Amino acid sequence: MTPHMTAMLWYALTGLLFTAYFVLAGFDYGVGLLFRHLARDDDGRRRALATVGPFFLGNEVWLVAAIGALLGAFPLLDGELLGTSSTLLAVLLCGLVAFTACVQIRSRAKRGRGVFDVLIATGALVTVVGWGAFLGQLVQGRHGLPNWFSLLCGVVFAMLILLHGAAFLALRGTDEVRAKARAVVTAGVGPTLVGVGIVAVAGFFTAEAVELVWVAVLGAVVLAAAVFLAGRWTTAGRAGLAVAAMCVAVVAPLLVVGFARLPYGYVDAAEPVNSLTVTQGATNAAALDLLTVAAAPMIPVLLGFQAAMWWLWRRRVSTSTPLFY
Amino acid sequence: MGALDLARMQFAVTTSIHWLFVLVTLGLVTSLLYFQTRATLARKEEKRELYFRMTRFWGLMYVVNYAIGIASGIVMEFQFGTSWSGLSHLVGGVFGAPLALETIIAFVAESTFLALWIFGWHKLPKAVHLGLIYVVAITAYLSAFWVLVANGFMQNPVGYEMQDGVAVLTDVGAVFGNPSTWWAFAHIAGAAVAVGGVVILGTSAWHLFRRTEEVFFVRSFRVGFTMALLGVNFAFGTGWAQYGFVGEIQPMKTADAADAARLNAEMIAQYGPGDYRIPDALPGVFEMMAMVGEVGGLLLVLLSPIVIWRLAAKLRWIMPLFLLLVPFPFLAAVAGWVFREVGRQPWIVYGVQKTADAFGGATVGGMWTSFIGFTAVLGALLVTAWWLMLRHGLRGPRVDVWQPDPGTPVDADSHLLIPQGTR
Repeated sequence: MTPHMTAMLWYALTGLLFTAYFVLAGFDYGVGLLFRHLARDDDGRRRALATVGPFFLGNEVWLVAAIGALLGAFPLLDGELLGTSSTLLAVLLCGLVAFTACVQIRSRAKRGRGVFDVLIATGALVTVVGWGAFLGQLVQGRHGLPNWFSLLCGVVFAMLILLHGAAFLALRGTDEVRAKARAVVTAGVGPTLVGVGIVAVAGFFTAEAVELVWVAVLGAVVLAAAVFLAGRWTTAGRAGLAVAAMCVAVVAPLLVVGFARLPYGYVDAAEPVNSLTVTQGATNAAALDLLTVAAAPMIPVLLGFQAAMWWLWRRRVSTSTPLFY
Repeated sequence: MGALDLARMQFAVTTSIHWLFVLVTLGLVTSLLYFQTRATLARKEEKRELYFRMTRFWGLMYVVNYAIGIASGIVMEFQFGTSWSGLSHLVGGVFGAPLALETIIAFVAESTFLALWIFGWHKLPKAVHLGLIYVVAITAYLSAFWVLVANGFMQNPVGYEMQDGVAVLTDVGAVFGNPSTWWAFAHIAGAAVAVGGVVILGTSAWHLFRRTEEVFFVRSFRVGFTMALLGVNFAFGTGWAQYGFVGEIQPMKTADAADAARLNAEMIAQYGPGDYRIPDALPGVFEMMAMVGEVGGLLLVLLSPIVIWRLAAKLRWIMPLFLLLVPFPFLAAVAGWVFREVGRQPWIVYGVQKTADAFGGATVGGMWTSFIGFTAVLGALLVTAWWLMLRHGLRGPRVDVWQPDPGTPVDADSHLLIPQGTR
């Protein structure tokens, strides 16, 4: 393979890792945003967390792999993308760390669970608004402190993740939680579609980093259609299909960020000379080959093991499900 | 403080916190291999139950600890990009690959299989469940190894060439076979086993002193003692054994005052103006670490007959002594890390890039935001997690979160839960 092809392969693989993170950890964050409201007592909340329980660690850890792949295969992109948005990412990380840790330790003591629950919900909110804002910065090619458009993207992304979590709870929760989660999905589709529309229109004027406009338009259309279908399928009682639709909806913005900016991996709209194409941002051929031989084959293996976990714990959460978180 | 100092402080704080949890993770998972293997292979029902209870008790402590380990690790990983983009620019081509391998091959696997282990109690067959903890342990040590490949490169850069102003990987074997990596790996493996050992030792000593669950804690005590004894002495031995090598690759680290002035002049001639001496306090930090190894190792050797028979329970009046031992391996471990990393300054990659040139972070205000945020969040989590671990340790194995609730249907032959509920 030519170095250019290996670089593109790793761009796709890194994208796959980020996709796995956003779709899977999106369930965690969505549940984290909602579980306090859908279940009022401690047992109910634990059962709501149990919907992601066995998958939680596996979901979250794809972020570590994605950033690792970014650093290993695209050290220059890693430095530019993360370095220019360092303050935004610091806030995001504080939320993410609080969320991840608190879910894991909340039920280890009887006292203080209410405090942990607030931290979980707040952490999830900060994390998803932060990611949405970061994606907004990427399509604008304007890093640093988030401007109004990135914050708008943050809010709409949070709505999307909330819907994602609600659809998931409507599939896997206890009977009581499922009914409430269905109501959240049905009520949330309209506002989310309005939000997506506003971002799409605003993005048309501000998203200077977009090179391939048709990809961005296609992404927005797919996103809107998926959200709409998720609502319809939820009303029709097809919870599984609704979750699948929401997965597509969460992936759509990533595809826009990943593909619409090609050939660039990092865009600086203010100083275009600083922009880096994917190939320019990639590491040397020897390091890429090492990664291709040693790390790439592991990705499908790990995805396979995680799929096996989903199969093992495919049953809905019920009153007799053993609880850990 | 300038933005660079803040970035350094931030990395030091997050890494130190991460490191404290990594040590306990590696140490406790090693003990779980022993407990769960004994449990799975036990023929007698009563022994099997005892060892499974021990696995679950120490396992819960391990899992609480792991939660903060993973959280602090994420923060560290981001900092290579957010604060040190100069590092990834110049040497990311060599140093990034082992970190990528670490995350994908080791870390994702470790977390995935740990989740299977946590939720697999009474759901997966015993042999499979045992196999999982082995995979978790192997991937945990692999993870440590790959991080040290990256760190070894920063200490002793090998296997690369500078092309067009950036480092290019030319010899994978040299990067993976870096003696700086292997020495450090052996050394920290010993330290981790020692730390895991004292956590078990201290907890068991408390319970033996209080005379709770004697059988359970006499056996735990022996395991903790043996781990601490072997771990401390192994870390001590590998520490001194690499002292000469460290002096070869980084002469300043081991130089005395007279040599330091001469070396400083030589390095100024070679690398340009600057101060290449190590901070005055650093030899003291090293002494402290060496003292813990020397005194602790000897003390444990002298006390080693206590593992015989039930002596630990009979000699309960000396148990408070073991409680006092608990903080020392942690202190020594942080001291060792400080000596290795601060002793390399002003270099971030020895002889290749200075720390100041690697900084690519934000404004002073931005660095203050992230420094205060990370320190507050990770500090609060550290206190909470340690409090939870202490509480769990002091309560003992009365409460067993992985024991099925009374009345839950269990299959008589396999001891697995019979699934209930919808679908």
